[in-house]
Amino acid sequence: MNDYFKIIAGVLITVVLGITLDRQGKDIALLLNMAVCCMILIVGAICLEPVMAFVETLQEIGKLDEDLIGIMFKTVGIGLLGEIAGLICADAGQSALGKGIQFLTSVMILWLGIPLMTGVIELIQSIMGEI
Amino acid sequence: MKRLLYLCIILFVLTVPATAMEFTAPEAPESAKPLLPVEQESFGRDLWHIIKTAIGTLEPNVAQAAGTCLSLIALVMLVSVLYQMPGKASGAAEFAGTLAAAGVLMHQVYSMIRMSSETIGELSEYGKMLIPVMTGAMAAQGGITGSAALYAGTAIFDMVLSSLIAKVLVPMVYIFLALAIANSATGEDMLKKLRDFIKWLLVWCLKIVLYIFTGYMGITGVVSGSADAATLKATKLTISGMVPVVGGILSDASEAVIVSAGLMKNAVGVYGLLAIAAIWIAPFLKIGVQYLMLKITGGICEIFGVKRMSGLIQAFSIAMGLLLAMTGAVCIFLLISTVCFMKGVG
Repeated sequence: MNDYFKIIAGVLITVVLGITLDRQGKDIALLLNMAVCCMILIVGAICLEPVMAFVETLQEIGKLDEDLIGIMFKTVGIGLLGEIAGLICADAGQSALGKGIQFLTSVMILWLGIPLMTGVIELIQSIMGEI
Repeated sequence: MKRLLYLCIILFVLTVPATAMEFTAPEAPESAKPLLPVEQESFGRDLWHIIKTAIGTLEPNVAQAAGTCLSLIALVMLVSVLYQMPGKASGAAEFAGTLAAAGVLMHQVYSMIRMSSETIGELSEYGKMLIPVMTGAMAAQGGITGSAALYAGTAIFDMVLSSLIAKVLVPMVYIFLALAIANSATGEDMLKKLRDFIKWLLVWCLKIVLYIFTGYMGITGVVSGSADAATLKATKLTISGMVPVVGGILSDASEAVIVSAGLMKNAVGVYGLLAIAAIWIAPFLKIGVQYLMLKITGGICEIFGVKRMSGLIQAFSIAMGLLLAMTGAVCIFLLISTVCFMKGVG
């Protein structure tokens, strides 16, 4: 919880610094933004650790297929990275690149979801075959 | 000489084998036997014994259902991490999450659908054995018209209902589920409307069949029951009037025979009711547990704000509800039939 308040304070300071640095040169402000974003990502990942551990516990209790939960972990990771990278690009004035990254993220997630889709289709086919 | 002749005739008559009519209820299927009490006491106690034993067998099922629900919550939690992001990644992640949840749920629902179909088949088969016995017992009690009408109605409705469920309603449940998965994966509203229409059609089909059946049972019970009562009364009056001296005794004796037949019929009916309950209750409770668990899980998942995934879980709980309705309809149908036969003449 302490880290959260520190990050919020850090982000607010970065905003003020960004505004000041923006007048001098955009590059430094952008670099500062990127650094803080990375910091947020790292802290976010640390905060997510107990959540992921809890999800793993649920998975173990529920005897959920490890491949399936693995795909979902990858999906979430790729989604988070892609979204944040896209937003940084947009902040840097490279919205086309940002959109490109977001598009690539969606495609990657869909690609990851193919085994899930195949599994569901196969299951439906086997059920239909038995009817 | 004359006395000796009479004695010989009497002795000859005594040597002729005479058996009373006997009606025994068909044995309950193997799956239901562990639930039935070893010795019958009162109907209420026996029914309570069946319910208690059925609840006792639920434990592994509850654990399995809880496991599935926890898995679903885990999936929804994972997707919800991405849900507040402004880009399209959350949509794609929800798509993947929906497919994963569908995979988990389909296994569970498929086993429930199979169990429900098997139960319906068992109930129908048991009904096919029980109803003829009840018909015979009712006819022996004097309800010849009533038993024939009830048997015809029950046989036809049993055939219609089991065929309808096996050939139309169960495939409709699969279509409902397929539409629910497609709707949750794509978010297409038209598919949701189609899914709701399938559900409405399914419920409507079941309701119509049961309405017609209860209506038929009511009408045949009143009309043929009164006709049989009138016939019995006329027969008794004829016997007591036509046969001099012992006419009244014969009429009373016939009354005793009819009452005995009625008692036998009721004993068969009570065993039949218990057997039907024993066949039906365990699968019904198992599906009920799944239904409740999915409803609760759907509610919990809504907290995370992943609407499409929680909608999918709710849709699967609706499918469980439909299975409950189908299994319950067949059971109620058989219970009503048996009670109508037990009601007897008049």
